[in-house]
Amino acid sequence: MINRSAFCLFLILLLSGCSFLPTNIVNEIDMSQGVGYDLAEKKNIKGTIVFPIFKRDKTSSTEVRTAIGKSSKEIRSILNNETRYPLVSGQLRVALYSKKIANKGITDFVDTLHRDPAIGSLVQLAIVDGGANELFKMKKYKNENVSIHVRELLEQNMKMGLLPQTNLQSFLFQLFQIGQDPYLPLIKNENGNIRITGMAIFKDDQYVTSIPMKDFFIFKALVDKNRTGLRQFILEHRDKIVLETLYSNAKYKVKIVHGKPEFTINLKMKTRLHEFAPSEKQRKAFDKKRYQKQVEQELEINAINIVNQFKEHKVDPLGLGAKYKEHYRGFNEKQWKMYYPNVKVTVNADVEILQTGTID
Amino acid sequence: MQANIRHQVSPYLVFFIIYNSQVGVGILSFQRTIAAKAGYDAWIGVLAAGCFVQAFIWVMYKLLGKTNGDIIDVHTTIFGNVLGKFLSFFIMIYYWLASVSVLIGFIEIIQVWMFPTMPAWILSTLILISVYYCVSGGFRVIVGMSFLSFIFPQILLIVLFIFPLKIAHFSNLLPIMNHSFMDMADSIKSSMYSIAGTEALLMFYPFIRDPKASKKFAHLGVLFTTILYTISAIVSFTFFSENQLKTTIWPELSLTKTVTLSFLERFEYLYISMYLIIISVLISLFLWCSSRGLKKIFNRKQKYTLLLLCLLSIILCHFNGSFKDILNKFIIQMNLWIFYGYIPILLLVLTFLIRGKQND
Repeated sequence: MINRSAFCLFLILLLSGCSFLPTNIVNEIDMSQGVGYDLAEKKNIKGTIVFPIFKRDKTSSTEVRTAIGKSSKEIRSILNNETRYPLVSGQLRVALYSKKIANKGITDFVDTLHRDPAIGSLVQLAIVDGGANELFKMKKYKNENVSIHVRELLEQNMKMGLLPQTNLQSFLFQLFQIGQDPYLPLIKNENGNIRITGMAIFKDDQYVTSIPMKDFFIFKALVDKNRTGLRQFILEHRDKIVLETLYSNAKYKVKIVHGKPEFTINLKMKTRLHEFAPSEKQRKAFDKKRYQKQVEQELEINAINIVNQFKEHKVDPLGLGAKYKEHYRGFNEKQWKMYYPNVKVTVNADVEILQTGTID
Repeated sequence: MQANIRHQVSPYLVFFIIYNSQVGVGILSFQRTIAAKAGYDAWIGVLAAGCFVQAFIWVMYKLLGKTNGDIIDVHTTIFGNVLGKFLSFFIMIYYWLASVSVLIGFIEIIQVWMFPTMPAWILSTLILISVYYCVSGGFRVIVGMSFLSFIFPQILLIVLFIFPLKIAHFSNLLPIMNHSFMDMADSIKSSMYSIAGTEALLMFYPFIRDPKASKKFAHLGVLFTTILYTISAIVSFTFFSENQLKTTIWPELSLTKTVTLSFLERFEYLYISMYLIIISVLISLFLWCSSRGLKKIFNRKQKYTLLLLCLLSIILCHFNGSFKDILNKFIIQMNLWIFYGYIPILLLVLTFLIRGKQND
């Protein structure tokens, strides 16, 4: 009995005496919530770190610091020399890369996010048209936390808007997937506001081209499942209708013709009418069948256009190569890359307008 | 040579012991090793390996049922006292080394994911103190702990698969059976090691109250772990792209990086801490087997053999890096040859021996 209680006492002492455990108290560390990278002169990188400062009896403020170095962790250690508390990265929410740095490839920067066990895989990545540093230092967001702002801007647009779902995990998945290239949102400082302006499309890890806002609807329908989003269609006789997706699903079919792959994308969509403005300024009942047909045609043309743009730049964000690989056992990556610019893709859209709102 | 009825456990508890003997650090990292050659067809290899283990359970029950004791009794009946104990000694060393390899694997995880500066000897001492406490309570305590570890962490950890499944790409698994037979054999071989551990039955067989009735629970236990491993493999195959998986050391832990709860930003810390329960039961089980075997071989008290093994384990834990790989390779070979080569032959020899005696 004495033996056992002595053992217990020993355990209690040992466990409570574990002062070699590193402890991080929340107001004694600086949690970097956003990082941004720009290109500097002489092959250097300009890194920017955003972290909040918590003060007693005061609202918290954010600090934005910049340093120039060769690698992202070097920048962090340089910045560590000027912060009061140690910088830690466990709370990272958003990582921004300027367009120029993305042109050269961002694997080196993503590698450190991927490698660090403290960083989650739901970190948002985005490409900045302009400088990441200037974007973080914008006057308008001086009093609020700009990194949280950017993250929430992106996330609400992915959830409710037209932006396809992306984050660190999806970027890495697409980067490593054979027969697919990654894509990330493109944001810009426009007249003192942070705006999403397009989708940056990568070739491996290098930024190649972007698709504008107006193609988001079809792009999201092609890469994501069951997402919502609004799009305006201007049809024959300048009839205007606005549709909201309730359900969409793109099915990719692969056929091998003369040893070469051919793709058919069957896009099924269930939508809801949000606005209807016929060209004759007269109120009339909505003719579902007629408009469905026209919307389908417009979507098909739109889809073919962006696919042609991708083929032109030899990028494959839709993952056609991966789909080809799934269906064809003799897949050869080099051969596929040769086929890709001339591959035949047809799109069949099937749009159903389920609801017309409370009026018809 | 059944153990005293006071120390025996009910037949249905064999399910939990068998489950716990198979689940260790292997499940956190086996996805990468099995996919190294067989790619994303490797999950079929896990199922096949599960069938082998089922057969092995059958062999062990046949073998032990003939002498109604443990492996040491089997050895002494066939080879006599001296040679029999000599051969048993090797199996005890295997049990011990297996527990050390689990311990080293888990310490590496703690160091990489939680406390990078923590020296290995502190972690191994802390874990082994609780293991010593558990083992000195006897076999029934270990069984109770394994029951507990099934109910509390394991069921909860299975539920966590919901998070990665939300963004799973099931088409990754296509095309099925795209690899050669030799590649599949390799994946079976590497999954055999991950789901190894049932050999502990060779030592605890005399502690089951009604061994015949427990047989079906042992098979059920293996079925459960086979399904668990297969699901775990499929979840990580659909979550990561193939080249991404090849860069990830602990796919199952990287999966939990996507889990964020509103009150808990990073789940891995909790995950690893909960896993400690499962790991310490596994180490306890193997150290119990080993120390009990050495007790019977050398006629020393189990307390002393256990203490000796624990101290040696702490010393071995200090050799990191290449030692771990050598140890793992050694154990994989040992496991394969002893339990899938030697034990079935032993069964044949014993059968003929008993027949011969009956004929005399």
